[in-house]
Amino acid sequence: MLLQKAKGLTKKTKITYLIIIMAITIIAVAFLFKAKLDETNTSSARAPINTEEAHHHHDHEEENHDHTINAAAAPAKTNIIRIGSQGVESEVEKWTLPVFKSYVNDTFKTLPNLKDARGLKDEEVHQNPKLVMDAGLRLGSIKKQIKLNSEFEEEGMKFYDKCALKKDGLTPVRALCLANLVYMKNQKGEDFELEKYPEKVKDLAQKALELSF
Amino acid sequence: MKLTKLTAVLIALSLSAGAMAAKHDVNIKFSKGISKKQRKFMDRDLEVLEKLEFFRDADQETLKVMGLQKLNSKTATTWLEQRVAFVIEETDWKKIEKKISIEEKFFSFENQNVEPTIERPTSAPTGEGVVVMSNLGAALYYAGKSSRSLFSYPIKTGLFKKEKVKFSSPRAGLIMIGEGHFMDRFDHDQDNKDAKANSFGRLSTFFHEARHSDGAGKNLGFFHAVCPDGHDFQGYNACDRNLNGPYAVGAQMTKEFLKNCDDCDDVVKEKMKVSYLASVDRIIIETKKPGSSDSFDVTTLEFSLEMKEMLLAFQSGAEKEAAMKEITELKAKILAISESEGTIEVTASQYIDASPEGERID
Ligand SMILES: [Zn+2]
Repeated sequence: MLLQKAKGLTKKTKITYLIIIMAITIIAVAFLFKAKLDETNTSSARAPINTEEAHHHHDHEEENHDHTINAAAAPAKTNIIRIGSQGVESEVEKWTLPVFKSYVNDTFKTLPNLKDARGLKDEEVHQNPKLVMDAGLRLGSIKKQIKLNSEFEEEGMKFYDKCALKKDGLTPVRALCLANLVYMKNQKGEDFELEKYPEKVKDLAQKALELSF
Repeated sequence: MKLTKLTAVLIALSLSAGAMAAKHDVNIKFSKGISKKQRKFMDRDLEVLEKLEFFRDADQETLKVMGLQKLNSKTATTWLEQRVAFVIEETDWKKIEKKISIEEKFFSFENQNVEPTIERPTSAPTGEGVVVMSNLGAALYYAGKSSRSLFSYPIKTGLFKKEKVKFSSPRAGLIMIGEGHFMDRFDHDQDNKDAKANSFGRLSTFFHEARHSDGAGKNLGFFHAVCPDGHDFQGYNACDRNLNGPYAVGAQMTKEFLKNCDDCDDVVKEKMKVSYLASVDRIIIETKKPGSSDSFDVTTLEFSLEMKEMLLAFQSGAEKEAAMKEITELKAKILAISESEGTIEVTASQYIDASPEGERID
């Protein structure tokens, strides 16, 4: 009706309005309503809570079943660690190394890729899509655990390197991984070659490094 | 008896109005149609902004992007107020059309004959979505301007109060919010719905949308540009070809919130960081265009490109997808040849004048 009111508009003009509406509208696609959350994919600082879940997806690395993971070792309530001037609020938030490794492996597998991104609906892309935010959540959990356990550093840096080099990964996620890696290498005073990372990832990582770590 | 009932209803109404009273003085009006839950979150967000200390100095970049001398709760809320006057509930586009009135025909618009730059997406499937937020004011201003008519839209802001927005400027400031804006899944802090960090996330979106209320002439509404080839969202209408558009505003505000959120934990901060980087990544720093070339290779490729682009209008589904992929590859090839020939034209993006055309009228 509006378009009728605006008499004399061509079909092309109408299409133009639609493009404008799309170009200024942030829309999340309806599938967000569907589906139970897959806890391991979406929860915040939650570690996998049982052995089966932790090892289900991989038949590799973790051959040693002494690394049994149970709910006590990897408490489900890991989501309120706050590291402030008072230090760590709760020791119980710490994961074990196998849990951390498993989480890091799962995270690498679930990192969003270009194919996922380019399959999104136009409207979903206006705002940061959920798949980017989910990756941020996982990177957050990894970072939190590295801060809590210095023995996770090596494993963490390996992950950051793989993530930053992930060719089909999304640039902001790769950049944040690279920034974390650069920060950790600097803290350790280790030399570090940046040549192997693409320019666009390095440029954005540079922006990330302006933020506090 | 009837009178007693009526009195009780009136008392109940006045009490509920009291309970709903916002704890902030930000001058943005809300439609009565917005659900109590959504209104509560929006009021909370504005309260967070109004009370935020901004105890760390703002980046020079933030000031430049926002056009501010300094950033504090006062300047930030004023910035928002200048660009957002009304917030309405998600409304079907057909309903919106029905409610629009023409206030004045042959209205005199500034830059009447200047068309804004509108880039058409070359990729991206469209689909049914849940609205997060939309700057309707900018779109309706443009629609009115195109038909040389001053449009208006009625908004119920109180039990017995109706107001009217007149679209005499992109600064009319009519924002529509939808369920998506409040979804848990977009929260920075998923453990505490009321966390400040969640307000920060929604506020950044609000600031992004508010920027669409700016600009004049060809920059009217700061409409988005098509992301270049090689970008994560290549072909989508989801980038800015300037340095101070909605994505830059959203990014810088996220950065300032992050700097001033001492009680955000590491998970939340990392999520805010990725959100910041994802917005920064939408800012196109430079645009590369193949210059004019006499080379046989370029001419042939350009001809082929033109043909494929023409055929797109008649294609759909997998066929269209394949054709779009070929187009992207062709463009990349032409660009690569131009680069090697030294004929490529590189244009650096600029900070553009954000002053709006027209002005708000009551
Ligand atoms: Zn926008």
